[in-house]
Amino acid sequence: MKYKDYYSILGVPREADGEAIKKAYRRLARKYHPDVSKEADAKERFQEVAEAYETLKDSEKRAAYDGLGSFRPGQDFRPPPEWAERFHAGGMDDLGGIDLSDLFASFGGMRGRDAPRRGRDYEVTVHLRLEDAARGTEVALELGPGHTVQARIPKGATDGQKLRLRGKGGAGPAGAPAGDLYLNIALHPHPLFKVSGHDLYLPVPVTPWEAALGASIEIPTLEGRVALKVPAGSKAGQRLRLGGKGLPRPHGAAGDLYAVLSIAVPSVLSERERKLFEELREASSFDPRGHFG
Amino acid sequence: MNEELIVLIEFESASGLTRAEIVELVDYGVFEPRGSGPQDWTFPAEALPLARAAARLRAAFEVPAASLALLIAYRERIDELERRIRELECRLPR
Repeated sequence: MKYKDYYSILGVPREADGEAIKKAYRRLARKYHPDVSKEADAKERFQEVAEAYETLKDSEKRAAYDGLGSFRPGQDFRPPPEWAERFHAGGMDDLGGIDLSDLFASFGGMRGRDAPRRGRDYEVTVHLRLEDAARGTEVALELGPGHTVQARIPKGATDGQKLRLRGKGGAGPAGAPAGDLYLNIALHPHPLFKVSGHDLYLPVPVTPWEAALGASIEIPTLEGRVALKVPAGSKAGQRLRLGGKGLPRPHGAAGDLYAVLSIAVPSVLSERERKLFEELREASSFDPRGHFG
Repeated sequence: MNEELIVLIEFESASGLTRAEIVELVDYGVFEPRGSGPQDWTFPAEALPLARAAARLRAAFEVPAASLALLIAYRERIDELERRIRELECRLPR
């Protein structure tokens, strides 16, 4: 079993009193709570902090923890033999592969409160490619040592979405139902498409003459290339909607694909192109800044 | 998430909220179960991530249900604003 230094996680000395522990926990909870924090590792840090507090705030658990002795964080150690006996009574066969937090969580159970009524819920972030999210896919998730589950992601899962896979979490103790598995979907950035909900946005550069005169161009979609009609007089930033070409939804119509136009000009002009642009400048009375007065 | 409906007792155990907290949060309009009263309430499974977030916030900050309702309202507002920002970012030229 790996040792965790709950005191250093909370940043308090081993002799800290309950009030100091509570204060340290509150400060760190405010900083790392995943529902309010934007820190990259907020979830992991908060889990550590909550686990440390859960043990140290309870005098009985704290005394038991202190009784383990002091090791380096991550160092392998063997709990006292009588602990294994207590866990046998709690329905666990051995302490191999058990996390320190599970050990202390079951202390409550042995005292007749906090008894788990169902298996543990897991919440994991799944990173998907946009194409896989659109089609639906299957992923293997490692929830802990020796605990891997296959999870089917239905087609149309999108960035930020949460999926619940019932009964795919930890096994329930003594015949209780298994916990659930919650998946937070995160899409890898796509080189072409940006994702907003089930809608896709595709930046589409067009030439000044395509914007002015209108054109039929080809653009990529998740299902291959399609023709897009750029109307005459199109402006930069204009959105052209292709209905149903976004991400599919599991129970409804697919999102849309928006082509967002930008006007691209050649950085190097040929002699003839320069002449034609100069000719256009002389011939045109168009003033896009007329409203400045 | 599919359109699964879950009954109050399962909503309680899956979310980590107590029955009293759920009833209070329903009073505040955070959850809108179907049914005429707690005895036949059903909740959409989609509400579970929010309920779990509420339970986490309550456990971490020891806040009462009224404050939880406010926190959740702000959180939903932030989610909506972030969604709007993402949408606007999508429209920006690359």
